[in-house]
Parts: sequence; C-alpha cells; structure tokens
Amino acid sequence: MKFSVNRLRQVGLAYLFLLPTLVILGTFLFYPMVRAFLLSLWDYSPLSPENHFVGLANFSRLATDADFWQALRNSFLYLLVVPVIIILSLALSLLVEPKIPFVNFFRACYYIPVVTMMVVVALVWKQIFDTDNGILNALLLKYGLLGERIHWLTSPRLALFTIMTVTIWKGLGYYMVIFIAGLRSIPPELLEAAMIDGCKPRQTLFHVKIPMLWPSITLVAIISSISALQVFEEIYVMTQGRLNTSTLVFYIYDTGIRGDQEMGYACAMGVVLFCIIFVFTYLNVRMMGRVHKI
Amino acid sequence: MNKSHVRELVRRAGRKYICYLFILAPLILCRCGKKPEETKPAPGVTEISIFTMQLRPMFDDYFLPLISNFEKNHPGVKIKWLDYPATDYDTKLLTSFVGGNPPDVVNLSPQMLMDFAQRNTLAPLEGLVPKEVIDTYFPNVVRNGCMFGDKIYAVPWYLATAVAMINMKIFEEAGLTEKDIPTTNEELWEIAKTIRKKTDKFAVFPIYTEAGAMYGMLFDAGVPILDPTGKHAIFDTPKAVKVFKYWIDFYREGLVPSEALTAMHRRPIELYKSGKLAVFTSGAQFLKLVKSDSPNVYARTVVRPRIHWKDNDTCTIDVQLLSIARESRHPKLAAEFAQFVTNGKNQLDFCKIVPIIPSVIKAAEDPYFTDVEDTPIGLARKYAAAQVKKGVVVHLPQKHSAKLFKIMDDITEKVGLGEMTPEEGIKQAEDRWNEILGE
Repeated sequence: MKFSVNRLRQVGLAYLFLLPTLVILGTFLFYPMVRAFLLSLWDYSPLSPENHFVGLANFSRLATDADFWQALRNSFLYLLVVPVIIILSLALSLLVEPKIPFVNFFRACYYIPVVTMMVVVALVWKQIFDTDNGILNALLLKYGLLGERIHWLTSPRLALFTIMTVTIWKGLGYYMVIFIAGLRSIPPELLEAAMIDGCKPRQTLFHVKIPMLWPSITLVAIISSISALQVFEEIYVMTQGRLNTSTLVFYIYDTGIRGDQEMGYACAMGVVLFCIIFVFTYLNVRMMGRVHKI
Repeated sequence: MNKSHVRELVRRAGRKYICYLFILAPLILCRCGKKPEETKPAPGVTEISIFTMQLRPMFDDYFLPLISNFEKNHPGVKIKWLDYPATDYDTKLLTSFVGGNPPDVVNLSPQMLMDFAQRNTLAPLEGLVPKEVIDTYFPNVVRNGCMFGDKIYAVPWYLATAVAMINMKIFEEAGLTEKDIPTTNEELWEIAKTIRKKTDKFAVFPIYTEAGAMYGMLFDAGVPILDPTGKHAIFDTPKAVKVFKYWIDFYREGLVPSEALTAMHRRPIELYKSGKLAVFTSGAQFLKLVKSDSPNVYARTVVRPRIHWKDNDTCTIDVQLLSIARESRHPKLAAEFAQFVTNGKNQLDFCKIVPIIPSVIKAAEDPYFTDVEDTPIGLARKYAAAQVKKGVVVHLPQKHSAKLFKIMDDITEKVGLGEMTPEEGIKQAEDRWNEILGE
C-alpha cells in the first residue's frame, strides 16, 4: 500500500511537471488544430452574420479552385530545395568539422543567416535581386557575364526559383550544425580502421561517413521538407505571391486573413496541407529507414 | 574542499547568474519600456481606447498633447492610444473585434468602413454626433466616405489629394525643363519615353496589383464602374480599354521599373527618395518624408497639381475616418473624443505639422492653405486644398470588395505579362465581377 502511495505521488509529481507544457501546447497548438478542423466544415468569416455549416463543401470547392492547384504545385516544386540543402549543408559541415584555424569563425559566419529574421533576409535579397537597381545584375553586367538584365524576381518563370535560393542560403547553417553533430558521433575507431585499410578520403566519405550519417540525413530531409511545404515569409516579402509564386501557406493566408477572410475555406486548405505533410513525413521516414537498412 | 574546487564553484555560479541575466534582461527591459498608457486605469477612471493607423512615433508630439487636453477637460477620463502600421492594420482590427475587445474609437479608411459596417461592428452616429457638427465637414466627403447605406458611421478626419512631385535633377539630365512638366497623362507618356531614353532612371512608378489598382485607374479617368443599382459592373467600354492599355503599356514598354507589377505603394516613395524616380504622384504628406530622409531630392523637387486626363479632371480624395465601435461601453464619450480630434482647430494644428487637409470646411478655408510659402511643401498644401472641393472619395461600396479587387489585380498581372490583351482583361474582369455581384 505504501509502495502504491509513493508510486502515485511520483506519477502525480511527473504529471504536475508536465502540466505547464500540456497547458501551453493545449492552448496554442491542440485547441487551434481541432478548431481549424471544425472550421473547415463551415462557411466562416469572422463577425459575419451569415456563417453556417457546409459539411465538406469547402473541400469540394478546392477541386475546382485553379489558384489552389497552382499554389499546391508550387509548394511541391519548392521541395526542390531539400536535396540542394542536404548536399550543400553536408558539404559545408565536412569543410568546417575538422579543427582547422579560424574554423569557429567560419562556422559562425555560416550560422548567422539562421539567426537573422527571415523578413530582414528577404528584404535584403529583394534589393540584391532587383532587376533595375539590384547589385547582382549590376555586377554581372559590369563583368560582362550578362548581355542583359535578368528578371530574377519579376519573371514568372524565374521568381519562385530565385526565392528558393534565399531559403537555401538561410537554412544552410542550421542543417550544417546537425551534420556536424552527426559527424562528431561517428566512432573514431571506424575512421581509423578505414584509414588503416587504405581507404582514400573519397571512399571514407561515401562508405563510412555518409552511411553513418543516415539518421542525420533523414532528420534534415524531414525538417527541410516540412519547412519547404510551409514556406511563407520569403514569398510574402519578395513577391506578395504574385508572378506564379503563391504557395499553399501563402494562399491560405491570402484567403483566410486578407481579403474576404474566408476562414472556413482557408482551414480546409490547412487540413489538406496537414495531411500532405503527415503523409510526406511518414513516407520520408519509411523510405530513409529502408535505405538505411540496406 | 580545496581552493580550486571553490574557484570552480564560483566560476560555475557566475556562469549560471550570467545565464539568468540574459534570460531576465529582455523581460526587465520590456517592463521598463512599457508605455504609461498601456497600464490599467485606476479605479473610477473611464478609459476610452483609440486605434490609429501609422501615426507613431512621427506624430507623438501632436497627438499626445491633444489627448492630454481632452483628458484635462474631462476629469476621470483616460485615453488609451494604440497605433499600428498600415500593413495588416485591418487584420489587427478584426482580431480585436473578434476577440470582443474592440477599441472605442477606430481610425478607418472608407473601404474599411464598408467592410466593418456591413459586419455590424460599428455604431451609426445618429444620436452620438449632432447634425450641426456633421454639417461642418465637407459634404462630398461625408456622402462618399462616411456612409454605409443611408447611415453615417464615421466623422471624417484628415484628407489628402494627390499632387505631382517632380525631381528636376532627372528632368535636366533628360534635357527637360520646368516647361516640360506634364499636366495631363497624355503628356506624361511622352516625358516618360524621353526620360527612359536619355537617363537610366524612370519617370513614373504606377502601382498595378495592390488593392484593385485597376479600379483606381478607371475611376480616375471617369469610367463608370457600376450601374446605379450597384449590382452590375458596366466598365467594359472602349474608354476603359484605352485607359487600361495606357497604363499597361508603361510596363510593357519598359518605361516603369520591372518590379512595378508586384510592388506595393511604399516602393515608389523609396525610389523617389533615392533620386531614381522623376515624377511621384501622391498625397502631399509624403513630401515631409522626402524632406527628412532625402534633403537633396527635396531641394530639387518642384510641385504641381496632380496629373489628370485631358477629358476628366475629377480628383480623388483619400480620407481617414474615425468611427465608434458598436460594442463600445462609452459610445457618447468616444463620439465626443472623435469630434474633438476632428474639430477644425485640432485638424488645423495637425495640418501645420504635416501637409494634409482638414475635413472641416472652415478650417480648410484658413489662409494657411492659400497664402503659402514658396516651398514644395507650401505649394503642395495649396494645390491639395484647392483640389478637395471638386474631389470624390474612392471606394467600392460592395460586400465582396476584397474579392472584386483581387480579380482586377490578378487580371492586371496577366495582362502585364502578356498572357491576355487589355481588351480581354477588361472583359474578363467585368464578367467575373458580375458573377460575384450576382451571388
């Protein structure tokens, strides 16, 4: 009996410690999530006297909404940043992982974009990419690398890809740190054994380091995919979703917050995005796990 | 415990306290930076809150003493002033209404007034503001900007009409003189071509895809948009096509910056201030920004009345309004404060700080708007005030105005990119408008 009381006390204490987090998560994450699911079944606009239950009508409306499909296509296109981010951040981590002079300085340099606000970053890059007055076009023209100005952010064909470079630039440092941690966790005896067996650096990289880094690669792939599917600030600041750059999250914002504030419809899109990210993450984990086993 | 242990403990403790300091410092600083008006009112004090758009900190020296004056004349009343940037101001406002905590007095644009009034969130001013007071304001502004249906929902605050600001340095670079300053849009086209050809700068920077810019273009040229019932769009006319084509051609011919198709209204100001834009047509209040941020550009600025169409000189008026929230617990006091802020004297004082025009007829007739100093700001004030009487407030009194404007913006983008012709664009815009208006 004494044991049970103690046990009960222990469990109670554990829940007591968990309570603040539960309250915060419940208030700011779980409740809005449930509410968004419910709102997706309503024709709902804040303060509107005409709000009413519409069942799955918001979801069937999605099927015929060309802007939604365009945004969805762009969101999937944005996933192109994932392999680029993995390759570049892995390369960076390999460069700055060894203890060489000034390595901390370089690590800090690569990490600075991560801690800089995205709005600031996007504004600066917007100036750099400006077609008429941007420094990038000016330099390329000055050194004869271009015959005419490139419409980085003013061409519907290029704008989305230009914005992707900003996302990549800003995220590199973060993923680099994950890979450095992964590289540090490789047992040194493995690397020594490879060296003794006569492995060249390239062979060590592909046959020892990268296989040992699979958990980190999986993590980076998942995190960067989710971020890519949720991209918003860059689009908002650099093009306002114009010129074929509207992604799903931007379109959700545009529909639910701006304009006519069709929150029910926006929530339906949010539910679709949630499902996509859920399925995507699940598949990612499964696929990476399978590759890792091989 | 030897000395090295003690030293280690002290070192660790020091580190710990530094960590605490870093965590607590922002909280302490936030607390220190808290403004006095954000604190709770004392018991027995009636608090009135007002939301304004983009006035702080630039006009603190004007508005804070104004608040103090009102409080002095109304013992036991405290005014809580909250100011937000124009971007997403309506979202902020909507959140406060949805949260059941709206401000008592709210600064709105006519378009926002339409949106909020139809959601039944604003109080009609009948019984709150006497008719004699309403009669002191410009009737065209009250009629066009403050009404929803047949009721008045706001008192007009300050007004602005566009004037043309010309950077003479760019004109001279292009071999042009003051005589060449355009007065009509027809002349502007030729000037734009000359400037683009002879300099690396631009003459104009129209906004194409923000808040239904096409609507403004057509309205400005006198194109009728809706029929008298307000239920049918009727703007698919040869004149509308001509006007739309005129503005789109600036983009297609490369006479405006490439970013114009996606730019928001702040961008032309930035470009004008950086000396890369020759003609900037906007409210005279922006001259104050030019003067403070780019004194060199201000020194070379010449001001003229707004550039208009040869066959249409209707001037559009931008007006800021003050409304009372329906849920206000002190509507009478709130209305009194709104009247105090918008009375002739207080508006005139405001106009002496920034080149805007008062909405009170008598105040606008003050010699301050006719006997002006020969400076860009002085002349801008004179031209802007003279244009008010014949002006019209632009807004779309429709339920789905945001959706209607978005249609125009999307179509303007497509026409700008060459995906459809201006004729097709106007036709499609009208068709889609009628679909929504008919719902």
